[in-house]
Amino acid sequence: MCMKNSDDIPLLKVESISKYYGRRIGCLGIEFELWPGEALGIVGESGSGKTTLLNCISGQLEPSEGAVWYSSNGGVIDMCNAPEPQRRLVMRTEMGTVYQNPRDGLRMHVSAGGNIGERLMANGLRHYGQVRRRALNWLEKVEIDQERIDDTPDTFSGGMQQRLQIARNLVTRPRLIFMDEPTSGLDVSVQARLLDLLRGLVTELDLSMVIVTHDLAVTRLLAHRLIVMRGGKAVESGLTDQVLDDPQHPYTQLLVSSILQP
Amino acid sequence: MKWMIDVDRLNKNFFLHTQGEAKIPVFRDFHMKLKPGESIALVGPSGVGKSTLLRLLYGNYKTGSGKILVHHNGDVLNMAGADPHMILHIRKWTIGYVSQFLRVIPRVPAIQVVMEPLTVRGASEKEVRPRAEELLSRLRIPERLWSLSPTTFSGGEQQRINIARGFSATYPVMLLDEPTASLDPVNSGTVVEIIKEAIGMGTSIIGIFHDEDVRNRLASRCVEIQPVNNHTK
Repeated sequence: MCMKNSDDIPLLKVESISKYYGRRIGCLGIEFELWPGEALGIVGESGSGKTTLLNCISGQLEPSEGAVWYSSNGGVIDMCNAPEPQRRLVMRTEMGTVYQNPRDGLRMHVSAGGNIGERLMANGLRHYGQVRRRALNWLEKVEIDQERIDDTPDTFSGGMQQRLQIARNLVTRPRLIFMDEPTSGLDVSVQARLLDLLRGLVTELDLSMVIVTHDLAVTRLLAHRLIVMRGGKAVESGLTDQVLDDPQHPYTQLLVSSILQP
Repeated sequence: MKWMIDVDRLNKNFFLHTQGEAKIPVFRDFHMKLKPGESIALVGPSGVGKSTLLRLLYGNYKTGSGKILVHHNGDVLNMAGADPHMILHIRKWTIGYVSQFLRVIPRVPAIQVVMEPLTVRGASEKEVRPRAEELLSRLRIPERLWSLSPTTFSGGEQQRINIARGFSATYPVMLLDEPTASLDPVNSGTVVEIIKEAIGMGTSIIGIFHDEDVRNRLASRCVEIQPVNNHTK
């Protein structure tokens, strides 16, 4: 056990990202760095630009201005300007995205096992027995009964679908995962279970994560750092416990003081 | 090394934007030094800012102006204004903090809560389990509770889990916010022993100890926090 040097390079460097929809601002001048093993929460009300920002940095939307640097296993690449095949390869092998609506992230008419195995096969695993074994193993990790491996996700509950989406993304051991409101459609009891599961997996796999949510309790549990967005801009950022316990910006104070405590 | 922590001209106000822009000054040009091997007790009336100071030192509250210099990993860093990534690194290795309440994470077993400060440093659970078990036993947490989440534990049990967690790893500096509050005298005695052991191993301490006996047994000196006059400009 030794004190690792902390000045290794960030996994993701976001430089002044802006996105305009015509004259309307999606997000404006957002900057941050994400380090290996770190989880960043992006919070704000609906329409604050959280999802636009997430889509810009996860390669799903081209930003109007700014740059996203990702240090992949094969070196640092400019995610906005890299050749398409290289970008696709990195997104498929080193990144994952968990969508708010599981229907956007799963194939609803393919079996649960098929959903998990797809990325493994896309990344070159051909042995059917091995794919199935990995799928079974991941069903267990995300607490889905292994007997459901041949069932399609449209027969699953919302919480199960969300857990399956997580398994499908994590099976190839990505280094960076993006999540857009992963718990918002779920019942509170199911939410807690999903969050605990995620927390364990993040630690176990040493994942980095960017998680968009409007739920501050989710960030308290999962995120090391926070960016608070309003009207497309980052109004405050910092360590999660600092932002939540000593919020500086009037909007953050309003958000924090509005949390209902059971 | 002449000091572990050097607080220099620290200023802190709370601005309550949602409550009529109220301004609450807590520190004005405050300074103190923590020397290696020292154990400082913060004293002063309730509400004067003792816990706030600990939270500022831990980077949990944001410093208004001034410096909080810390010796970390061979460098001198300023906690006030350090980027979050660096603060996390300082918290992992240099500054430990035992708050008054355990922030309970649902479903995580007590033993894992206790092992976490060591496992985040990269140790395996197998390596660190004996230390966690030793602390839980000494703090009289029955073995049958170790595998349960502390969510349903009593206040005193949660506080003891909190202590065990705080002392599983060793840090050059520990911040203690009333570590023996809500404990019976026997457990309180054990906590004092555990803190003394840490001091014996070279940890410097800044703490709030309301119990006079505990304070006398632990503190090498006291630092009094003075109230800031609300009416000065």
